[in-house]
Amino acid sequence: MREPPSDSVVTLVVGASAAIIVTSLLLLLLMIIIRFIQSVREEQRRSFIKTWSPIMALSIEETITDLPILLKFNYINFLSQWNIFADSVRGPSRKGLIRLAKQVGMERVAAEFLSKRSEYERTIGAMSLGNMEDKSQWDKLQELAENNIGLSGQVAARSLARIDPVASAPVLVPIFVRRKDWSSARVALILKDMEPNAVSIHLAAAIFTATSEDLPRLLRFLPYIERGIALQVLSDILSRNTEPEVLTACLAGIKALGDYQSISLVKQYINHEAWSVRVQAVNALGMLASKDDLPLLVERLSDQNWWVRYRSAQAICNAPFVTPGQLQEFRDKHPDRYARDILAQVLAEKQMVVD
Amino acid sequence: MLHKVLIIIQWFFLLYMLVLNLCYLALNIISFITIGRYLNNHRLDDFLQSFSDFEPPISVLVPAYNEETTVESTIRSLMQLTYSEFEVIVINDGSKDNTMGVLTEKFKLVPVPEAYQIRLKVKPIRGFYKSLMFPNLRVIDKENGGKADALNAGINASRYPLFCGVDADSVLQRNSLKQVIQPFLDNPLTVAAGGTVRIVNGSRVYNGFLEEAGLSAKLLPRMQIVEYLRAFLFGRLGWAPINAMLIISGAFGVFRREKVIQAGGYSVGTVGEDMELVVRLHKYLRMKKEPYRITFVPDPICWTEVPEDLKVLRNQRVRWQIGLLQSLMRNRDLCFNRRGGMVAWLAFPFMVIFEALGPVVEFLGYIYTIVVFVLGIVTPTMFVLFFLFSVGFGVFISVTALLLEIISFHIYSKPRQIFQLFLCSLYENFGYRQLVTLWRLEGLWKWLKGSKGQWGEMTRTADWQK
Repeated sequence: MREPPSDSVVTLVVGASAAIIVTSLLLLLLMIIIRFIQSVREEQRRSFIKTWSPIMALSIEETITDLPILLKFNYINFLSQWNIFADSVRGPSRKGLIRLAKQVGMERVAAEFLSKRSEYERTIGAMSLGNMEDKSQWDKLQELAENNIGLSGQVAARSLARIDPVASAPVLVPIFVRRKDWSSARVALILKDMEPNAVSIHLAAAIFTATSEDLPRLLRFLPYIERGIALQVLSDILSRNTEPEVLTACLAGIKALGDYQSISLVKQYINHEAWSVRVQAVNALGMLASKDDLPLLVERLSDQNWWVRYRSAQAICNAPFVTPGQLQEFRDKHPDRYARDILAQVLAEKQMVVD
Repeated sequence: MLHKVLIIIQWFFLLYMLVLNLCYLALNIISFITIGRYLNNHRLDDFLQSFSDFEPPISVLVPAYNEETTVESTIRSLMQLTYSEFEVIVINDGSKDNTMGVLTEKFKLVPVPEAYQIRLKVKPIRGFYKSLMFPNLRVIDKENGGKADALNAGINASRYPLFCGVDADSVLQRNSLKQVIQPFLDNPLTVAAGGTVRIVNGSRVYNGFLEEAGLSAKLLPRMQIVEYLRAFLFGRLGWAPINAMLIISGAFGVFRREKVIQAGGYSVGTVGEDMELVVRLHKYLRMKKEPYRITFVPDPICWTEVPEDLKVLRNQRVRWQIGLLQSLMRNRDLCFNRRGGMVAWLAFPFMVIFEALGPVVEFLGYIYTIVVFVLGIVTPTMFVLFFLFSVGFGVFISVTALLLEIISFHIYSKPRQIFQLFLCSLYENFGYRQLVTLWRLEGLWKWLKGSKGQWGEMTRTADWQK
C-alpha cells in the first residue's frame, strides 16, 4: 500500500515549507529593523521637542530672530507641535506663534501638505493653515471640506471657520446639511468657532428648507445661532411639524434657549402621545416653569413612562419655588405609588432631606 | 478501496488547511491596510484633543461576583478615568464572599430608594446604594443570576445613552474611555465598539493602572500573548472594516444602550454572553435593515490577567468554546440569511467551519496522520514535510501578527522581547496548540451534553499589582 511520494509533490512541499520558514525569519529581521528605525525617529522627535518647545513658548511673548535650522524631516514634527501650542492660546498670544511659523516658511509647507496623498499630512496642513489664519489657500481648503471623506475634510471645515467665520458660513452650512456622516459633536465644535451672527441666517434658512429626516439633526445646532432667530425658527418648525423626532429636537432647543414667553408653546406638548416628546416637554418646563406651572409637573409624576416621571421629579426637586414641605407632601401623600417612588429616588440622589 | 478512501480524506484535510490559511492570509492583508489607515488618523489624536469635546456620557457597568480581593482597586482606578461625564455602576451578583461589605466600607455606601425601570427582565434586586465619596458611583445588590443577568440589571439602571461593560479584574488606562469612544464620534451609525485586550501578566500595575508593559517570565502566559495578538490584531481588525466582527470582548466594550435593549439585552444562560450579544445585534439590525457599524479600536486599552497554570487555562478554553457554540447556535438563522450581508455569508460560516468545528477537524487530522503513518501509507519524509509546512504556516501567521504589533503600538519594543515572542510563536506548535485543540474539543463535547452558563471562575495571582 505504501507509495513513495512523487518528486514534484516533495519538491512543492519542500519549496513551500522553506519559503514560509525563510519568510518568517525575514519578518523577524524586518521587525528588528523597524524597531531600530522607530527608536531613531522617537529620539529625533524627543530632541526636536527639547529644542523647539521652549522656542515656541517664547515666541508667544517675543520675536525670536536667532532660530535653529529646521530640517525637512522635521517639518511634520514642527507643525504637530506648533498646532498643539496654537490650539492652547487665544487672541494676541497666537500672533507670535503665527509669526514664528512664517519665519520658518511653514505656511508654504502647510499649503503643500494639502495636496499630499497621506491623509495625515493633509490634515496637519489644513489644521495649520486654520491656526495661521492664512486665507491664501481658501479654495483648496474649501475643496477638501466639500469632497474629502476623511478627517482632513472636517479639519479643513474648521480651518475655514477659523480663518473667516463670515465668509465660511455660506460654504459650510450646506456641507453640514449634506454630510450626515460627520459627527454632530464635531459640527457643533466648528459652529462654536464661528460667530452666531455669521451663521444665524444661513443655518436658519437651511433648517426652513430641510427635509423632516434632516431636521432633528440640524435643530441641535440652534444653540449656536442668535437666540432670537433660533426661537423664531423653533416656533415655526413646531407649528409646521408633527413627527415626534422633530418635536423632540425643537423642545430640547427651547429648553436650551427659551424664556418664559415660550412656555405656552411647551405646554401644548406636555400630554403628547409620544413619550419622547413628553419627556422633552417636561425638561423644557422644568427650566422655564413658574409656581403656577407646578401642577403640570406634579401631574407628570404619574406618567406611564419612567423617563417622564423621572424628569418631572428632577424638575420639581430643582425648582426654586418648591419648598421642602411641598416635596415631603408630594413624596408622602401623592395618590400614585409610582409618583411617590420616583420622588423618593430623586430626593435620595440629590441627598435632599425633607423630613 | 481503502487506499482511495484514505486519499480522499487526505485531500479533505489538505483542502481544509489550505482554505483556513488563505482566510487567515486575507484577514492579515486587510488588517495591515486597516492598521495603516488607523495609525494615520491616530497620529493626530495628540493635537486633536479639542476636536473630541462633546463626548457622549457613558455608564460603566462592572458586574462583580466574589471579587472581594480586586473590586476595591478596580473601582478606584475606574474613578480616575479621564472622561468628561461618566457614572460607574457596580452590580454585585449575589456574591458569596464579602464583596458587598468591601464596597460598603471602602466607598461609604448608603442605601437609596430607586424607582427602578425594568426594561430587561432580571433576578430580584436586593437594594440600590450610592457612594458618599464619589457622586457618580452606584452599586446594585442583586440575587445571583450570572454575568449576563448582572449586566442587564446594570443596563436597566444606567442613565446614559452608551454603556461600557468592564470586567471587575480589568486593568485600564486613564484614557481608555476616550479612546474607545472615538468610533462613536467618527461615525454616528456606530452601535458597538470593542477595545483591544492585552495581557497584564509580567507588566507593572500601580493604583489600578498599567505603568509598564512587560513579558511574563512564565512560558504559558507568553504563548497566550502571541494568541491574543493574533486574535485581536488580525482576528478583529480583519473583520471590522467589512462590518462583520462577531466578537467584542466582555473585558471592555461600549454599546449603544437603546439598541442593546431593543435587541433583548444580554442573553442569560450563555457562557459567552459578550459574543452572543454582538451576533444578535448584527442579526437584529440586519433584519430591520438599519444601517449600523460594529467596530473595533486597535489601541491597547484594556489589560487582563491570563491563566498561569494548565488547569485554569483548560477551564477557560472549554468555557470559551461552549460560549462560541452557544452564540452561533442561538443565532443560526443569521447564517446565509439573504439580508445578512458579509456577516451571514462570510463571518458566520467562517466561525462555524473554522472556529466551532475547527478542533474536530484538527483532532481528526492528527489521528489520521498517525494512522496513515503507522499503516505506512505516507513515508516518514512526507510526514515530516507536511508537519513542517503546517508548523511553518502557523509560525508565519503568528509572526505577521507580531509584525503588526511592532508597526503599530510596539508595546513589546525591546529586541529581546521580540525574539522571545518569536520563539513562542515557534514553540506553541509543539504541544500547546494540540492541547488547546483538545480543550476546545472538550468544550464542544460539553456543549453537546448541554452544559449551562455560569460565572467563569479563575484563580488570579495578581502579582503584577503594586
